[in-house]
Amino acid sequence: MKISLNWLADYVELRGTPEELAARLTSAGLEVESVTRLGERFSGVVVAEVCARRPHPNAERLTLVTVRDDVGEHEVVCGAPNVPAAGGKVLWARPGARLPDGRVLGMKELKGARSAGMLCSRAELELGEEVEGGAGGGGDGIIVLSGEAALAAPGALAADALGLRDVVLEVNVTANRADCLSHVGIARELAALTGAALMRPAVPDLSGAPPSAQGVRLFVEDATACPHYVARVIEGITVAPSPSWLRRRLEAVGVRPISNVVDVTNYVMMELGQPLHAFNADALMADEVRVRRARAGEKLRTLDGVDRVLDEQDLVICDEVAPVALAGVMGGGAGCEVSPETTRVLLESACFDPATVRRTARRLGLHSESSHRFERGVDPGGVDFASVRAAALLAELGGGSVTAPLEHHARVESPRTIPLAPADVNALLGLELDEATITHRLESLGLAVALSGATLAVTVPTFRRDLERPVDLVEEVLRLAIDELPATLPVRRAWPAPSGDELAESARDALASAGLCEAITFGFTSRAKVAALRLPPEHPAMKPLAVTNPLTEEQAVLRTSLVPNLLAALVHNQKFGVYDVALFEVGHVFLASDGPLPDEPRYLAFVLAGERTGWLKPAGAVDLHDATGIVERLLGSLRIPFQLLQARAEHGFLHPGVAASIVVGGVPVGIVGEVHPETRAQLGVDGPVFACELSLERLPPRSAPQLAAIPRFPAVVRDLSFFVDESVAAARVRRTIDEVRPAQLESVRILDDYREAGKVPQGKKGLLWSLTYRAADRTLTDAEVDAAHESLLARLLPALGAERR
Amino acid sequence: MGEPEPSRLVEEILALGEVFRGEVAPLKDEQELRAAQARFLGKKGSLSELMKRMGSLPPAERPRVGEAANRVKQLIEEEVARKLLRISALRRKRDLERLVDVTLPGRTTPNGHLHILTQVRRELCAIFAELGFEVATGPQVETDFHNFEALAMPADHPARDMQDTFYVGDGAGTLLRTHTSPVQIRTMLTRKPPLAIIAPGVVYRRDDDPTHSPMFTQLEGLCVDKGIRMSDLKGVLLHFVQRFFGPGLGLRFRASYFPFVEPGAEVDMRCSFCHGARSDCRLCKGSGWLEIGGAGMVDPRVFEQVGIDATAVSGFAFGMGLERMAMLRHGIHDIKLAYEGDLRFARQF
Repeated sequence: MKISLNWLADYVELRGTPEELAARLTSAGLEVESVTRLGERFSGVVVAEVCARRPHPNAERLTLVTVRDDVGEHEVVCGAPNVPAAGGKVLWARPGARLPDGRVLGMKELKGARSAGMLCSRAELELGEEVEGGAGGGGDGIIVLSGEAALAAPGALAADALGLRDVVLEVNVTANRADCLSHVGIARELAALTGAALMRPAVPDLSGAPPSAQGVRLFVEDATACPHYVARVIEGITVAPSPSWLRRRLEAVGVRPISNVVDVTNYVMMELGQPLHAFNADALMADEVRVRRARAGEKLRTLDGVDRVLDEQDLVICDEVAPVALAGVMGGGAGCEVSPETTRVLLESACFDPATVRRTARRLGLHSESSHRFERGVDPGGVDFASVRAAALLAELGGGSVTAPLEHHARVESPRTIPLAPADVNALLGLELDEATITHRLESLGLAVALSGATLAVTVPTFRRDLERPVDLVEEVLRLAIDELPATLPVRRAWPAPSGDELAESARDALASAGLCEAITFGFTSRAKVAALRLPPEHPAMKPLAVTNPLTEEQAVLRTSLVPNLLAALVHNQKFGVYDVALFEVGHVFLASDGPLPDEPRYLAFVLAGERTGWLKPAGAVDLHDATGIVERLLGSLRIPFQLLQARAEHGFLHPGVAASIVVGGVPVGIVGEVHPETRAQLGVDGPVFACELSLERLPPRSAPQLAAIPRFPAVVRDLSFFVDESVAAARVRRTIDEVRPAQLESVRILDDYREAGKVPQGKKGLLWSLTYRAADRTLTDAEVDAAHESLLARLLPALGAERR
Repeated sequence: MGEPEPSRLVEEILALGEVFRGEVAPLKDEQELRAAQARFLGKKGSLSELMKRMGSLPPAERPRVGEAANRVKQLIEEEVARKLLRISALRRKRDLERLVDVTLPGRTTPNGHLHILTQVRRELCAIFAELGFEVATGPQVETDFHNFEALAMPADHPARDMQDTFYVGDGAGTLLRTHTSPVQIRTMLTRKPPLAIIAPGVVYRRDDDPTHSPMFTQLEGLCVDKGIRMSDLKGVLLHFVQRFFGPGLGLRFRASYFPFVEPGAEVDMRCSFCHGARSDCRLCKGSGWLEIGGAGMVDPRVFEQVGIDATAVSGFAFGMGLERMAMLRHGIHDIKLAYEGDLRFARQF
């Protein structure tokens, strides 16, 4: 909300620079987002008096004008048709003047005559409706000062003569402070903050006003939605442009002046915070004003020219036949609005239910200054005051006479009284304020404080509807001097429980130390990316939860796997020429559940593409074994034993021949493999990529590792080399060794897998294993080891159909 | 006829020493030296060959021959030892002539990087752990109750406008949490004071423009106990600011409004770049202060929602954006960089 300091000064003495005032307001909860100085958009433009004018000897359309400022006389060439006669006052941009568009003026030669600067038009100074003069000359006329401005002495700065100087604060008023959506509201805050007195606008006593000759009747059908309604008819009014002071103030706070009637309603709203509406009273059918809920399907063309279809929860102002305004939101634009011909005005000042206004404004996407205030709650105790203030201004500016009001009040708004114990204030804040300080601060905000035993009885006026409980008053006490709050530390009376997701954190560390970079991608993804998972339709991952109101298709559903977004990140990197990519993410996916909320298991995934880093040159393209190697480092560092099994089931986004299932304690916890060429094509991935995804939820709980005896006797190593069918997986060999293992076999390691033609028989592969034998209690003899090794071979080779090499 | 056999044999044996010395003189290699030694002293070496002839000598002559053999053996061994010393000295000298281009990069595996937000989150959790705060979590898909209702933002509350919400599925009651504050509610519903938690986590708002990401990360704090004061809140946040951004940085509260705290405040810290000393500072835009989050005392309405007696305890809560912390400290200008998985970004931290 914009606040004009010139305007604000009507209600409070401004103690301090605009920046100081802004800082005070900001610290008290009224954040000033900007401080703008008006009237500084041009410089070097002064009031000058015309001394003489004569035609330009060489140009028919130009005039040579002699003007006088406070220094002397100057000759200016002017192209405008409305140069006034001697004695008229104009705005002269001196040589050296700077115009709003950045132009700097100097001496100029125009068709043989020298011109010192120029005489200015409204357009050249980028002035709005708030400045009188110049209009007579049409669009290309110069400004000829009239009224108050014409009294300015030659040489006076234009900004001063026109009253353009002002400072505008942009104040961000939080949703709870409806009382501050006005100049008087802000003035009240400043008064409390600076100790200055608040001066409310004076209004005449209208209590003796005669009733309207042509009686208007008021019916409020829904007193809950409309607890207060005051209508005043002003008769014999002349609709005309507002005087310049009024236009200037409205322009300063961003409201376009329209006519005196409309301008006054806006002015009083900006002054007091009470939205007002003016109807053309003659257009109200049957002289009736009715506040009721709309009928379903009822239509109203609002002032912005849009036809609105209403529903039964909208509150409307009607005449006898049809709605003429959406209560508290916007007036109607088909007959009842004030026009230049209007002579009888019905002025509405009312209090509407916030939720009702909010609902209608939101449903219709119709946000107005009025609805903004009603949604936050206007002062029910100020409805009549605003009506009187506006009616008096209307009569003053439009020349009409105010008639007696029609009033509806569903209840008496009595101020609320809240008990407040000073000790509680200090206990909650950590301050040591005395009772007098607390009382003074509350009173400065317009609250009444009485002592009642050990507590204060604080009476809250109706304009502070946000103050309901003692704690609300504590905030008021605090915010007037919030910098006094000391810094202390809480005394903790409990040990913190173990917390944090240690497994996920260890996994992150392991993957980073394996050379991968962590990504964090969005929790949502697109339907196309989910489809690229290529799992069967009944798979939970293929049934993502939809975002009801997504911003884009890219964020239409919640992710069911981390892989698609990681592949998208890979594509992003490839787009920027980064091809060697190793990215991981640890995060939640969202799976539909039977409960009220979806399951959000923690997953871990990584993708690997491009070339393996070698020394000085790349060590070749990454392959599956790089990916499984990372799995080994990950689960190894987590001390979780696992097996890789050739994936039998269809794994959708993985190549069917290059996919492994990661099995921990017999339970599949995830998969690793090469990304399916179809998936790559669908997501636009360039080149082979390997991916892994596993569920952290499926990993077994971790326990503290226990020390096993450190071997004291030497080990004996025996190699084992054989040919076997290509289809026999290393995991099967390993499992078979485990099945037949002799007691002294300590560890097993595969050394080679070779398939070169010539070295191995057709359809076979050569495997070389290294077996380590050791006894815990003695040094094994060669004979013992040979016997154990041979007995192992004798059982292993037939079991695998292998042939010893 | 020449000398008698015994003398000749002794002569021949003793001559071996000179022959050996002459033969090994040019050698520069331990292996060659050892081979030469074997040729002279080995089982089938020259000395052994000569000694075979000793059997035909009269026994009285044999000690002379044996003595000669021992002498020459000792001589050869001494020569070998001397030669070995020289060879190893030579080898060391040769080794010192090596020159390696030490400026070539080292042989290593590439460094991985934790996401900057992970690093910041861990650091914040550690800082608050020092003050006794534990980490709590909650779901990202939330109910309207936990995200709004219980936080004193019933339907139609104007404060909901500040947090444009993504809804999930058909029911309007399910949404992507707009802040981490529902974790406060979940914690207070399941545990009783004294409580001190922080809740880091991603949140979602329907806002996507150059300065807003539809998903971002918050860190929520909550402390509920007997006698918790707003000054405690200030002290905790001051500790955080000084530990995370640097010692000596000040903190200020500005009154503000969040429905679930009363009194409520915006929290600013002294500009960590200019310390409030420069009117043209780009970071704080000359204000001298940087906004870091919102905070306040838990509103009694919230206690009521979770069944905690507001007359027995009090509490404070605060919330801050992790991205903002990272951006302020690490000079990140664009929040969106955090979520693209761009390695050019990730590798810088």
